[in-house]
Amino acid sequence: MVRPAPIARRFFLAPESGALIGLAATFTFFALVAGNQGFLTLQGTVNYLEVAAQLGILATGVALLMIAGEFDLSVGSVIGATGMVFALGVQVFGLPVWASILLALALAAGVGWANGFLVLRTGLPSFIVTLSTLYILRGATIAITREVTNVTRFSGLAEPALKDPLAQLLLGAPLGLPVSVWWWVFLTLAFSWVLLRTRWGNWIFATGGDPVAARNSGVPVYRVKTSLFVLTALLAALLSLIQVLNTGSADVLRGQTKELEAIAAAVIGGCLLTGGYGSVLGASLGALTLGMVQQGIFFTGINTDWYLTFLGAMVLGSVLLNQFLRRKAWEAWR
Amino acid sequence: MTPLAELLQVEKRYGRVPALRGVSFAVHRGEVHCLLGDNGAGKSTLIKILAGVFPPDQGEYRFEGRTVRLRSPREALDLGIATVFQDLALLPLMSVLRNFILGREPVGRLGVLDLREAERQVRTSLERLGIALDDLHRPVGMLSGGQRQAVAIARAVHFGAKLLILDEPTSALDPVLRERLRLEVRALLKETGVTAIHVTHDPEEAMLLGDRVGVMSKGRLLEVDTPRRLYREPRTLAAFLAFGRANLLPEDGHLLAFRYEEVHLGGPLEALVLERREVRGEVLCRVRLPQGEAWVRLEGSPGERVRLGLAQIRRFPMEELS
Repeated sequence: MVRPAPIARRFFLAPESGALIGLAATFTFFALVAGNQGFLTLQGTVNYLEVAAQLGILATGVALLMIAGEFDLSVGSVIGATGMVFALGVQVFGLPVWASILLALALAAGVGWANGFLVLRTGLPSFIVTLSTLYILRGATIAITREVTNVTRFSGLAEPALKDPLAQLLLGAPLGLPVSVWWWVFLTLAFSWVLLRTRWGNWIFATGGDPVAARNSGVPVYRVKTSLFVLTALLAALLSLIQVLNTGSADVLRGQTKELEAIAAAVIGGCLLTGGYGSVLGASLGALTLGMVQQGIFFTGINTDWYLTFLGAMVLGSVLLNQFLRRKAWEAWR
Repeated sequence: MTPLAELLQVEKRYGRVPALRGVSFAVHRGEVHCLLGDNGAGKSTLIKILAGVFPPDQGEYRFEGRTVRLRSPREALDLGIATVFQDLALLPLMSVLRNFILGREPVGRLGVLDLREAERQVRTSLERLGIALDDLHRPVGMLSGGQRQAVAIARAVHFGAKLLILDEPTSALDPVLRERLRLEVRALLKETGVTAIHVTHDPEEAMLLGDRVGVMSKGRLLEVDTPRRLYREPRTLAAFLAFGRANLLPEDGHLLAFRYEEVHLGGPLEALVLERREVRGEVLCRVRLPQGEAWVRLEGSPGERVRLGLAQIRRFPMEELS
């Protein structure tokens, strides 16, 4: 007879349990310290949600890729490059906004595919391959943009987008919440569902857990990994387009170090660096925690220069907590 | 009757190193066929060809009477050839349920998992084989070695494996567990009636599990027979030596070969007992025979003179020793 696991055991075994505890602690801390300085107001909440959403959009893809056993360090550069391609398309080549959006997405898909192809063909660690892509792409973005236009920054991009049909999906704040938050929530739910409820999700876990065993079971490991590299790059482009369309400006340096923050969010959310284990929901909770910290510090009046220090401490603390919870779960089961 | 799977004059090299030299091999429906050999004997290469990991350089592979050329384990799986590799059998971080259905997930539209159907399938399959697991959501890494093997075999059988290849399934386990698992694996295989190839370097395991045993050495399949006949009437020295403790004494340009236990008191051979040892309750004596010194399983005391007879007279050509 099969009997289900007790709820407590299930909780400890879930990859996102640590992230949930961390989020609750972070919220409590800032609610107590900065509760009457605006952290708990609607505007304060919207502020940290937007910061979290921008990271969260990236983190959902990064988490899936990490669960499949790979890294992508190039997402920050993809943010810069796709923003510039969009800007060049609209302002230099006079393309319609929708066409420039598609062009940016196509570039991202190409970069993602190239990452996947190189990793799988050469057998090099994705850390190395995407580190190269990070520099190659950033360098090319700066060089080509300056070569063509003599500047490294564009503004006035919001105006032409206002009447574009495709851009409507990436603009404004429906129901008072920034569009990035809606995208983030949608992607978290969609990818969690894909991961836990579809065959593709099962293949992602297996691919990261042990690619040889997965292949021997009939999982198309190459296809799974390549598709996730493409997905991660597409999400970076999505984030980039949301930023460009809503701020009206594009900059060749945009997105720098975002790749590491996204990995940090995924790790806080319970993803293992070694693959085969993790959660999209956890990564989103990680992004929410980091967003909360970034804005929370501002409300407490502590110098926001300390954000990175907090971030580092959070990553370390979360990983230790996750490890502890996992060990407890395994012990409880034996 | 056509064999289920058959290799004909198969050759395989890794670079310039020959791994298989003209091996012909057949496994019949319903049998458990053990492949016995040391490291480098070629057994892993042989099963990798059977499992579709790579094709042979030369020779023919027939499955169910038809010539096949497999390029991936997936293609093998589609034909009904499933392999349980020694430590790669299952993914430790994934649940029993998700491991079980991996690669053959029951899905509805859009590739959505039918988890209820999956659970039903897994439960039925495990129960049929009498495997008791209380929680299918437990990560496989939390199972014992035996449970893991059982799940892996049940999984292969469930998905319609006609030929199950087990690659040293017990080699990573401690001796006590290994002993128990061997018997369980045998029972499980017989229960399902599946045809199986079981690879091992342990002669005892081969004798215990195999309906037939193939002895491999240096890229060749030396002989194939029932464990009983291989033990009693091996045709090659390597097969003889594969099954237990034995003496080799030169005699008329040949090797006289007999096992410790194939000696009885009262025979034509004059022997002097040199030494007496007790190993795990069994008395072994070192004796001097006209042909040389040998170990025999007999009671005696040092200095005693006895007459011995051999239950079985076997001679192998000297050259086989190299």
